[in-house]
Amino acid sequence: MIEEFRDRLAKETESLFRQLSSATSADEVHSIDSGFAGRKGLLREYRKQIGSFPESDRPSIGQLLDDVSNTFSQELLKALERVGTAPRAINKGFDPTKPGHQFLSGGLHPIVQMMYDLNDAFGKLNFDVFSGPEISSEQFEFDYLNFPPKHPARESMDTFWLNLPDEASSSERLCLRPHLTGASVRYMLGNDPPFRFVYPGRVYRNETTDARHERAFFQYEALIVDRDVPFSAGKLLISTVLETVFGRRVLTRMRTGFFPFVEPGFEIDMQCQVCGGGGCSVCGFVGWLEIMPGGVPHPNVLTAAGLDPGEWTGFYVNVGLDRLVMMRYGIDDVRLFNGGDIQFLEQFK
Amino acid sequence: MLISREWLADFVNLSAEISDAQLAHDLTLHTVEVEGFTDVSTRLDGAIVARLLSTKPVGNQSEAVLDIGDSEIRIPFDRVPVEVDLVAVIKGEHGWNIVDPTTLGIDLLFPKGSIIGFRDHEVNTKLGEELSSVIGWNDTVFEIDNKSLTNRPDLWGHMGIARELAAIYGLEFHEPKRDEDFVLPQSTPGMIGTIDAAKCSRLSLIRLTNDAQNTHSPLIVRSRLAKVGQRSINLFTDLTNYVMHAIGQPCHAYDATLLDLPLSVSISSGDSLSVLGGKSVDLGNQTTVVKDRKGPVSIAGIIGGAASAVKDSSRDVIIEIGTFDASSIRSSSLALGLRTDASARFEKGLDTQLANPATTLLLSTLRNFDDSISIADYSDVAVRTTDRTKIHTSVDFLNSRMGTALSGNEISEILKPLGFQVNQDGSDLLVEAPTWRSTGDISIPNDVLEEVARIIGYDNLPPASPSVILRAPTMPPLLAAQRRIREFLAHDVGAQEILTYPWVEDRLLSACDMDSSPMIRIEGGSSKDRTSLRPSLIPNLMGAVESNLSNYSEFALFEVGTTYHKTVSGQPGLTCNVAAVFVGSSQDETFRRAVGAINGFAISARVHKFDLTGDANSTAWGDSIACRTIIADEKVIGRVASIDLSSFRHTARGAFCTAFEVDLDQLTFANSRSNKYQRISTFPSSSIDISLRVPNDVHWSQIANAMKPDIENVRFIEFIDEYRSPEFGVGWKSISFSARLQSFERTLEAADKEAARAEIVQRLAASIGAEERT
Repeated sequence: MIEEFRDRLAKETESLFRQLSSATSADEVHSIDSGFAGRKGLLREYRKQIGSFPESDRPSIGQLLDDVSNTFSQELLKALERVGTAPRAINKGFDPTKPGHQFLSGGLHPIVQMMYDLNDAFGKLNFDVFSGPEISSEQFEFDYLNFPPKHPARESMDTFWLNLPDEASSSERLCLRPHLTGASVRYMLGNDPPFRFVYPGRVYRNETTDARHERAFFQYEALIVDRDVPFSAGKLLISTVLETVFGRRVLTRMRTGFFPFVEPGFEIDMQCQVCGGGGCSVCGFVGWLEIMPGGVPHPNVLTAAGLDPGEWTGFYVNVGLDRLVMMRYGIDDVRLFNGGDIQFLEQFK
Repeated sequence: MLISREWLADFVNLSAEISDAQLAHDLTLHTVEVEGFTDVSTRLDGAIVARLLSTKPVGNQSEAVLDIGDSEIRIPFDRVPVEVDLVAVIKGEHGWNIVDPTTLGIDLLFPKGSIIGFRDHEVNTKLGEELSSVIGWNDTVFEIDNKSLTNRPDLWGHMGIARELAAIYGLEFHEPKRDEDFVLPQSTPGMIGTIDAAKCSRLSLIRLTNDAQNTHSPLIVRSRLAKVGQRSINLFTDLTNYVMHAIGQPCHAYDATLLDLPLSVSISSGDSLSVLGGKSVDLGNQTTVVKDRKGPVSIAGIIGGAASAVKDSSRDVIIEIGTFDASSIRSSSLALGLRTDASARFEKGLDTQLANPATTLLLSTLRNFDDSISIADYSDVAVRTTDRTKIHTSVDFLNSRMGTALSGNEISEILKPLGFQVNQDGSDLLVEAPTWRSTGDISIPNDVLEEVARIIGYDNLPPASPSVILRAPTMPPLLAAQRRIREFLAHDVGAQEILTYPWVEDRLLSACDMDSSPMIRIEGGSSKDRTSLRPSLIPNLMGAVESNLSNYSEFALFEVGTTYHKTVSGQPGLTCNVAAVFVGSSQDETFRRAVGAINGFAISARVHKFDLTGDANSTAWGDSIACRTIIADEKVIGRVASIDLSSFRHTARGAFCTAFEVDLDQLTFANSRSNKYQRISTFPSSSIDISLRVPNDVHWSQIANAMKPDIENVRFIEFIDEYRSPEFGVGWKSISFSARLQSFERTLEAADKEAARAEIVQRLAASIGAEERT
């Protein structure tokens, strides 16, 4: 039965192939195509017969019909090419140099991009991400951080104090946070050591703005607190930051620096990326650029955070994100970051 | 602060093999930041010393005849030099010239308009010698960053820096030594009166008489002062400045004939004082002053009074060398708005012993350069002396923090050149700081740690990596959601993120119909109209819209940030908001973009779907009709509304704007994705388009709501267009939408589609009076 089916099919298709090979017009070819693959065509008729065969034969019959169909399609294309109306998927006159469509695309602020890049990098190192409040108290921003009572940073010429009653105690005297470090004490008070965390955010200083100074800028601070943290472990934080920013290893140096909330304190310089350390106008011809302060949390800070400074120690680094982004892209005016100008911001995708 | 390498040589013998660059590098890594250094001799290149032989008229001009050693030169000269034997000359393109100090940049040493001239006794030189050599300017000046000196009272002079360099390079340090033949008189009673012990620890007064008519300080004093940026004023003032820059101890010179001794130190009592420079200062009741019998003669440790100031003519002078309380000086300096070289040093906390090398240097300088000055009187009262701070620490502590394995002896050898004494008992160390580091700078074991580590060099400490206990790092859900929302708005909605200030301009508040009076305010600020902290992100976003409208006609901006509100108690409350503005040429389009963004926002933020309702709670900043309230979990979390741009500054015509703002603190973010699977049909779907003529006041929400309860085979309907035309009649418009049809049981036939259409049209005819357009 199956042989008879195959023979009959072969005869009829052979007839169609002959017709295709002798066809002289596109209409004639399409007519033959219709007779084979159309709704009432040969192929459909034969497919209807599959159900009459035993189940075991049906796969081979289906395969036979597929093979015939593929052969017919190839012969059909040859016939169409011969009569000069071969369909082409690609237009011969296509211009591949036309500009692409412009998709409506916004972007994250370049400083926010940098913040997320660093969050990702520190996340891989098992650091928590934390955020403190933008309005904070004198107690958290100065008292807990070992700033002396008369320290100039406490004055209104440096810090934006809120216009609230003068009689307020230091826990009630509120300001826009002048740095992020106060948030570290908040985190430590609410969690159990050891700690590894970062806490990015905006800070505010009452100073005159120019191309290098802003009243509102982003900082990124990282802190490790553990029982035994040698200074050199802090280099892990530094290299994580710089390699994330510049995508390569950057030569750094640690030198002594003074900040009330650390002891010892460090300034971390990186080799000038413009001159490679040879000296240029960007680095004041010294080959190095001051990039971030850091240091060991002062015992008074650890005490304020509820930790025994005899047991716990650590390492802070604090990065000015605005400045890093300026160096990453060669931006020459920090005020552009808060200007909201799309012409500037849309450059950073 | 400027430091002269030539001056440092008084205290430490630095080898010429240590280059200026190396010295700057080493000082930066171990002690203080050197911001740069300058070879000051280069500005004097080509200038030499010549003897002025004569001046004589030539025609209408004068001509100077000068001997430059190997020849005589003649230079047109229109000034008559007085009391000058030698002058500096320089050869230019058109021959020799008398050197102009301003042109060479040394007018701190030789006043503007003068010539560079000397008397024979002032210099020991050969004719034709380079000027830089004659005046001691074959030198390099290092600029130290003052910020890096904040905690180091001992480094505010050449002596302190020299001591550090001696420690860094293992060289011998020389403190000024008193000439043994030169003995101070016994302390004389009657010069010093009462001293407020809380404000002043030590007061030394030295009375000097000048027998000759000298009014200028020695050339080396003036030269060194000029190199560190200090102009020469007169003999005694220059001497006090010289001691301050050399030792770090500020001094003050009074004309003794203008004082009514004794001098006392006390708190002001509402006085005022005219100070050097002529400014009259109201001293209030908290300022530490030095008084004579008549009243204040100087603001202690900050600035002297004008009435008792030394002048060129002063022949009877009292030099004051005091040790004043650091916090009092800092407070007074701040309160009075007077910050001087002296106050900058005193407010760091000076050692009472510093007066000793200061006195020694003052007197030895006088003895070396001017024997016509003698000591007439001397008085020294020390109320309290600075004691060496003692710190208990251990070798183990220091090694564990540095990652080193130093012995106690090695630690001691590192600290000794800095003036520390170390006593070891096993691992325990008793470290005694020198007095010049004992005024607050060194007080805890970590300070000792810093001293050892910085001299070794932080970069020389062995590398180490912190150990990590692995656990899932945490991030507050709000922070994670902020990132998803930002990325959705930027990449899916096509909005640009901006950052604006937390304060807002009153004008923008007013344009947004917001009253600034109940807002949280800051003291100070860039201007009086920017002291309100933003209660909403919208006003500053609209400020950005204003500026961008000159370059763009269609755009969207968004910001994620803190807003500030006064709570019932009057204290500030903070919320984290997200807001976006959409600008374009159609109100309808901008509104629909905003609504589309809100709908997608909930998905990206991983919160429950938002509902938009038309309740009457309109925003201050938005239109009261073209607005919707955003609801999540039955709470109002924000608004979306059109904004009338006519209230804002811009020149764009035909621009429309819609904004939304959402309070993120009101949302509960899912920790993971919350999508629900719905069974899908295996049968094909199809759609039908329907156009209806409806009354003008019909809203799309009425049509959407009419699809409940479900109509058989209708999956959902989608808005296509709204159209108004006279052909629909007054008060009517056309709304077109498509209905997606699909069955779970079978492929839909034409009759099914017609049935669905009929049901939709019938429902809408009944509910809103719609008529199908054909």
